[in-house]
Amino acid sequence: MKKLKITLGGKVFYAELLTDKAPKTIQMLEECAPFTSMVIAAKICDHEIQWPTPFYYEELENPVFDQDPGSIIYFPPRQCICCFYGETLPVEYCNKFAQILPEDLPGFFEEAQKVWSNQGVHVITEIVEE
Amino acid sequence: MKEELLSEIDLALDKIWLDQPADIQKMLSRNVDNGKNFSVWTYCYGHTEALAATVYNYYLWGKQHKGDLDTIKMIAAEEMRRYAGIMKIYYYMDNMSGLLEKAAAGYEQAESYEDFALLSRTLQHYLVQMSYWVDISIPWDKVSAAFSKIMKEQN
Repeated sequence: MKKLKITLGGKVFYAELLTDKAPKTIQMLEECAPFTSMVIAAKICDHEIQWPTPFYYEELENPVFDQDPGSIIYFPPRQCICCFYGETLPVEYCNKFAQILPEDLPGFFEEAQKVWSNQGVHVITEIVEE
Repeated sequence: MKEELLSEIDLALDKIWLDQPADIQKMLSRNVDNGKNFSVWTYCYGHTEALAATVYNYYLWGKQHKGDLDTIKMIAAEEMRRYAGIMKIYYYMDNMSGLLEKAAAGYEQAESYEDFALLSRTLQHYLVQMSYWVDISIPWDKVSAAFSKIMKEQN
């Protein structure tokens, strides 16, 4: 089974891919992965980090407004991946395509929190067979 | 649509994907002697974000054939020229300004909605990446901490 692999701060985290709900978004991602991006902390939402993707996909697919901790979405207007790692007041509908594995969420929270003070650190996005 | 322009914008995006654009250093040097630095950076952030959002709308107009083609071409060309001036004069971002000037001419030459959409999409991807670079050049954590301290002292 394929999973999303995120390397942030030298640590590796895995997420379940929602292949049945967001197949096109995942296909676009798979076509250009692996790739390295700069990560930033969201400026309005609380527990959110985001990074740009090399692909451009403008359709809403599996649009979700309320974001659970661990939710991973693609935001079409900015061609970026957003990860919600804690309670967050959402602002827009986005393509939810993955969910961080529960056992990886505490470690991801720790690394994601550091981004506010360390913007531009690199993140690697991959799709791997597990 | 001229392929050379699209290729030039794509190449510009590739160059700045992980490497800081020269424009950012120029922008950061703006007004450093008179103390007006952070205000310049945040205005640059706002302008770059707004520009990326505007061009995304142009992309959707083109894709959805919204509005009269000649009219949206004129709107886009004029807006790109306005932003080219802003980026050059306010922020010293000559490379971005030059691309926006070329994009303005590209919009005028668009022969179809598809041309219009393709230029918008290519340009917008580059602009979003520029907005990330402006974003990460601002020390938000330190500024926010200082701002909290200032507001506490005022109240």
